[in-house]
Amino acid sequence: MATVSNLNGNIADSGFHVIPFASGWKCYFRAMASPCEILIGACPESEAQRLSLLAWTEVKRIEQKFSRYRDDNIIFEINTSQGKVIEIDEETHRLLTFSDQCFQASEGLFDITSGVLRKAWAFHSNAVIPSQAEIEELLPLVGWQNVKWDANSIQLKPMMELDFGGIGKEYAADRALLLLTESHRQPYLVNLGGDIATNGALFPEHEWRVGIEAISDKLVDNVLKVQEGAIATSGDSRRYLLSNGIRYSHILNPQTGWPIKNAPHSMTIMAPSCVQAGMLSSLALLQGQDAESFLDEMGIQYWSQR
Amino acid sequence: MMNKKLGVLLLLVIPLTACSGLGVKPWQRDILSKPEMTFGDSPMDAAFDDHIYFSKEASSGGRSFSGGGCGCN
Amino acid sequence: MQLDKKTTVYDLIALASCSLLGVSTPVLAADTSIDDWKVDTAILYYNETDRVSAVESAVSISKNLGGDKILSGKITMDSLSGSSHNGAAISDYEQTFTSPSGEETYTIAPGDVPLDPNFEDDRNSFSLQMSQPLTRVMNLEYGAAYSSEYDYKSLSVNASLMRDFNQRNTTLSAGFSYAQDEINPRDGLPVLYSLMSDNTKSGSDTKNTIDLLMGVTQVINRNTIMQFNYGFGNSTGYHNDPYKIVSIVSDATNAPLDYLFENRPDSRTKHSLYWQTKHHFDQDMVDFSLRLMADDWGVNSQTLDMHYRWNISDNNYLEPHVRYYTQSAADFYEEKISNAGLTAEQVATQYQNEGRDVTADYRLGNMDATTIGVKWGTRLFGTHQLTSRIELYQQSGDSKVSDVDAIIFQVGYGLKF
Repeated sequence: MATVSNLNGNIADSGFHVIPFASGWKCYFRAMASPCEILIGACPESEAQRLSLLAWTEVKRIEQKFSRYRDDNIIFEINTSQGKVIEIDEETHRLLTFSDQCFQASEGLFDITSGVLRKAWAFHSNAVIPSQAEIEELLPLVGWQNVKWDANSIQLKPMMELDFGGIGKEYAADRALLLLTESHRQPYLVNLGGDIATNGALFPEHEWRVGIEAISDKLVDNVLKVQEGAIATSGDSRRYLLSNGIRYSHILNPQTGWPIKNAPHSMTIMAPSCVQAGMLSSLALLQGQDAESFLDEMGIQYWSQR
Repeated sequence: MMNKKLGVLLLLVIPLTACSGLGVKPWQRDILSKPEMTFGDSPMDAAFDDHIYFSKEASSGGRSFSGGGCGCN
Repeated sequence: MQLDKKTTVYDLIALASCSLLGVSTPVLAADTSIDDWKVDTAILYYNETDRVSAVESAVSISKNLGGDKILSGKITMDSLSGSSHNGAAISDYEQTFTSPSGEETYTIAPGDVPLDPNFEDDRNSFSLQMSQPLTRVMNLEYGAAYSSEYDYKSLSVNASLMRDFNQRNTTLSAGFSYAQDEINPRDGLPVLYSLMSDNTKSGSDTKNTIDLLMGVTQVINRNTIMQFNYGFGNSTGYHNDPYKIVSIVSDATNAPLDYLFENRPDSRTKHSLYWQTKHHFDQDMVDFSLRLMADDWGVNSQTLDMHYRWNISDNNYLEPHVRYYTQSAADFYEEKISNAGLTAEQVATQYQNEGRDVTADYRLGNMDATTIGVKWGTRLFGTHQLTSRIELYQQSGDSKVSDVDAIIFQVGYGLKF
C-alpha cells in the first residue's frame, strides 16, 4: 500500500476534505478525473478522518497503478513494451483474469485491447469520421485472444495497448469499500464519479438514495433506493460524434472498429458489487439496440436513458 | 472500446427525522447493540425461572405470556 | 435457450467479479450467512430442603432460514420427586393421610408440616416458534407448545406482532396466547366438596387460558432501554390442585376431624403491569424489573428483580441477582376450617350449599419470597457461551408450611454456527 507521506503532495491537490454530513461524515475529493465522495456512518471526527484517508489512499493507489495517462506505472510499461515479456504482480493478474472472463462471457465484445481504436476515433467537437482504411489499419492491433499472459507475465504484440479504463473506477470503489469495512465495520457509501458501492444501510428504515441525472431535457431525473450493494452507470453521455446527421456513439465494437449503433445514452445497473454492475452495464451498451432486452432476459433491474 | 465517463450522479441521504428527547441516532447504538442490552438475552434462564416461580407462587407472566400449564409442585 | 445463455453471462460476470475482489460470495456485504444455527442447552437442578427436588433439562435449536426468518424448536424434560405439602395444617396431633391413590397412608408427627412423601412427576414439553419479518419494521412471531405429564396435558398456541417506530427507538408489540389444558389423574379428580375419608374420585377436567400482552419497548438514551407491558389473562375451567386438601379442625380440641379437598373458583382473571429497564455503565450493566399483578381471586403481588452484570473482561462476566416477591392471600384462602361444632360431613355439606371456595395451598396464602444468586458466564471459541448459576430461594408466609428453602443450580452451554 502506498504510504501517506508519498501521497501527501496530492492530498491537497485533490481537494480532500471531510465535513459533517447528515448522520455522519462526508469526505470529498477528486480522483480518476471525477468528483468522489465517501459517506461514513457516525463516528468520532478523528476516526472519520482516518477512514477517509484510507479510502482516498486506496483510490489514488489504483489510479496511479492502472491509469493509462501516466508514464510511471505497469500499464505504461506494458503499452510501451514493443513485444517484450513484462512481469506482472498478483493484482494486475487478477484484473487481467477478470478482463479475460468478461471477454469470454461477451464473446469478444468487451476487449481491453480496443483502446488503440481511439487513434482513429476522436470524439471532440470538430472531429471527423475516420475512413474504413484507417480503421482497418488499426484492427490487427485489437484482439485480446492474441495476448499471451500467465500468472507472472504478459506479452503484447508490438503497438498493442491495454486499457483498464472500463473497470478501474468500479474496482476502486469496491476495493475502497472493502478496506473501510475491514477497518471499521459500519455503513459506508463510496461514490467515485457515479460508480457507487455501499455495504448496508445506516439503520433498518434507511436506504441510500441515488439520483440519476437526466442527460437531456426530454428525460426526467430518477431516484434509486438502495440498502446495500452497488450501482454503476455506463454510457456515452455527452461524448458522441455527429456527422451528416448520424450520431456516432463513443462505444466501439472491437470486432468492426465502428461505433455500436443505437445504444442507449446511459445504462444504470444495481448489482452486489460495483465491478459486476459496471461490467453488466458495459456489456448491455455493447448490445446496441438490444441493450434493454439483453438485461431483461437476465432478469436484471436497470435504468436506461435513450 | 469502453471508455466510461458519465454523468454526474447526485447523491442524497434521507434526512433523519428529528425526534423528541427520547431515543438515539442509529450510530449511537453501539452500547444498545450488546447482547446483554437486549431483552430476552438469556431465554434458558428465563424459561427455567418462569417454570419455578409459576409452580411456587400465585403469579406468572408479566414479562411474557403467563400461559397455561400445571400448577402442581 | 437464449435465456439460458444470458443467465450464464450473468453468472460468469458475478463469479469473475467475486474472484477479482477476493470475496467468496456474490454479496459484497456478506453479513447474512453468519450465525445460521443457534443451539442452547441447559440443565437445572432444584432442591428444596426436606421437600421436592427436580432436574430439568432443555435443548433449544434455532435456524435462520434466510431473510431473518427464524425457526426454533425446544425440548424440555423434567423430573420431580420428593415431598410436597398436601394442604393440611400443622397440628398438635399426629395426622394420618391417605395418598392420592388411596392405597397407601402416611403419618405426620405433631408439629410437623404435612408433607406427602410420594410426590413424583415427569414432564416433557415441546415447542416450535417462528419469527419472521413482514416488513423492515414489522415482525411476526407465532408458535405452538405441548407439554405432557402423567396427569396433565397442555397445548398452547401464540402469536405476536411487533412494529418499530421512530428509527427503531420505539417498538410496540401485541400478542395473544391460548392454552388448553387437561387434568386427568390416574384415579380421577376428587368429587367436589368430598372429604379425604370419602375417597370418591372420578373423571377428568379441562382448563382454557387466554392471555393478551401489549408492550412498548423504548430506547431512552445511548445507555438505557426500557420495556413496559400490560398483560391480561383469563382462564376458565378446572383450577384446583387435585391433590390438595384443607384441614377441618375441631373448635374444642383443635384436633383434625377430616380433610376437605380444595375447591377454587372456576375462572380467574389476571392483570399485570411489568416494567424492565436495562442500563449500561462504562463497563457493567444493571437490569431492573418490577411487576405488579392483581387478580379477581384477591391475590395482589409485587415482584422486584435486579441483576448486576459485572463485565470482568471481554469474555467473562459475573452477575449477582436479587429478587423479592410478595403476595397477598386469595380471598378463599383458609389455613384450616374450624368446625363450629359441626361434623366434618356437615362442614362439607355447608360449603357445598354455599358454593364456597376454599384452599389451604400456601401458594395462595400470604407469602414473601427472596432469591439471591450469582451467575458466571464465559465465552469460548468466540461464539460459544458457557454459563452457570447458583441461587438460593426462600419462601415464608402464614405458617411453617410456607417455609421453603431451595437451592438452584444451573449449567448452560450455547453455540452459534
